[in-house]
Amino acid sequence: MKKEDLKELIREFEGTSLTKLSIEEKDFKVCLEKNMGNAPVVYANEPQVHATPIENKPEVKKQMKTINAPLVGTFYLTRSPESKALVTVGQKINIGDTVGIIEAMKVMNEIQADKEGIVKAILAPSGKLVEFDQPLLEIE
Amino acid sequence: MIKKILIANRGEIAVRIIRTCKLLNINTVAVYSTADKEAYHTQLADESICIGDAPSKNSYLNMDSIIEAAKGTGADAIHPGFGFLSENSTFARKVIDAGIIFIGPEPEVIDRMGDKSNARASMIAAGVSVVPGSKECIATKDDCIEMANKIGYPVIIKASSGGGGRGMRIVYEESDCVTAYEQARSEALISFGDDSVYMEKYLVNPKHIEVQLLGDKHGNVVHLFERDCSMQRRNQKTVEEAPCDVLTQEAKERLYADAIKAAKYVNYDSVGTIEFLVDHQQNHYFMEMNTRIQVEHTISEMITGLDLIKQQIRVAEGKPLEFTQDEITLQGHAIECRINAENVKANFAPNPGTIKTFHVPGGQGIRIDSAVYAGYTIPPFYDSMILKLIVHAPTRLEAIKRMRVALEELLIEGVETNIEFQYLLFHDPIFVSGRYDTSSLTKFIEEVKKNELSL
Repeated sequence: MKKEDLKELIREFEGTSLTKLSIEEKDFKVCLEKNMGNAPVVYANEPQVHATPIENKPEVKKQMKTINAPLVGTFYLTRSPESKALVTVGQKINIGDTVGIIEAMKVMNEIQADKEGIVKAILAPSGKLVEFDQPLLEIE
Repeated sequence: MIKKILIANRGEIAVRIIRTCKLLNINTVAVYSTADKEAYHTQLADESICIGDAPSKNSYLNMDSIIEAAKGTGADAIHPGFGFLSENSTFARKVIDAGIIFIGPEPEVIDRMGDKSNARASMIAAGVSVVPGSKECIATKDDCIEMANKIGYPVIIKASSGGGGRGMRIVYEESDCVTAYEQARSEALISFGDDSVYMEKYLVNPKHIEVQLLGDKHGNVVHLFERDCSMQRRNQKTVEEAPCDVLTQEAKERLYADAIKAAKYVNYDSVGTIEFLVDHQQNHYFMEMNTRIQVEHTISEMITGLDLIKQQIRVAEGKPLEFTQDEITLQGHAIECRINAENVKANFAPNPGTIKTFHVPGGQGIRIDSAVYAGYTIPPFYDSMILKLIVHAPTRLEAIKRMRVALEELLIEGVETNIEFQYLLFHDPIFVSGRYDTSSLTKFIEEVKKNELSL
């Protein structure tokens, strides 16, 4: 059953006086039930698709030294899909070194390190949206 | 079908938009500056993205940042709220070019009505009443008298090359005309090196009356009656009410007709407002058009029972209006007080800080639109309005009483606010009479100062 059909079904069900509706197709089963509060409860074995583009936003502890995103865009660790990573864990970086790319408005912006040290961890996943000031790398 | 909206705004309007999105099962993305990490709108939305640091130009006015955030979160529409980028046609175009729906009118319409002289020219072409006047210079004394008689006294003679009150003379009757003309010209010459002057009808202490409009992409336009926004201090609205009891029904019908005519002329296809100045004879004159949702849209919602954000989203999806003008009925009277974090005694200076106590009124006919809470620190970077207190009642007098009780209950401590000032205003006989105009609030403030009433 397509997601759109499921939404339509739920809408229809909400508007009726039925309290329970169960549908089984070849590899799909859904059961809608109204509890006391009249809110339909959905049991489905189709995984809930909920886009959370900022994955793995780690807890930034106060003592962590990080290099943060200076703009909003898609973060990349490599200049192109074939090239190797700009930084790796354990690598020594100096101020001014390019440590990543953020693509915004079709422009590839090189992100320069504003601190020096050893890369302790890469905090932002490559290919995902980063927000302003989001920690990209942990430095020690 | 719009499935996810990014709200390119903050504060109470962002909260208000998110609430309607939740009702419509539309996912929401909040954007925020580093100064707004604790802001309520970021908590209420499904997702939130930090788009820049505190100054507006780096965050809420940062077009690229906002559009990247929309693309990255898969938002299919952006709601610009009011202020910030809401009437920026460059932003609207960038949004559309990025394949995202801009919840507002077409960029061309924003340009046309946003530029004041373009707007005036469009309105003249549409046959809508504008402030009568001439842009051509008045060449001779006789021309002056002829023009003044044609326009109708009082008129104002203004220098073409400058403003600031220089080279300006108000003429109340024909016998003063020539003297005023000569004085204005010589003053203009001294002040600006150019003695050209033109003439406009002078509106003595007009009322500021605006008409709420809603258009769709199918040519339908309806109005949601008028709002009286004359209670202003330095052109900042403080109290708004709907409808305006002082206008006759005949004057209102003329107003609505011109508002609809204007909107249809520019093919207006979203939520918007046309502002008029209304003189003491109840003649109205086009002042400007606001091509966005406004702060005071709330009182029009109360008197019609409609959700303007919901309607705005619907028309942005391309849906036709689901009701006709006849199906919009006026119910009762609504008033809104803007509550600002400001020090009234210090000439209304903004007063950011941390709210220690926050208690809101309740009961029938009370609506609160706010994004603050107890413990919240108001950042100093944005405007000082922190809460809109709206009342709705069957009659105007009941609405005024309801507002007084609500203001008595409203408690915000930790920052200075204008709550007590508003409370005094709601006991002012001129306000209560409804016969106030755009000069009234200033006069009221002077009276309060003179009487040294402790606020």
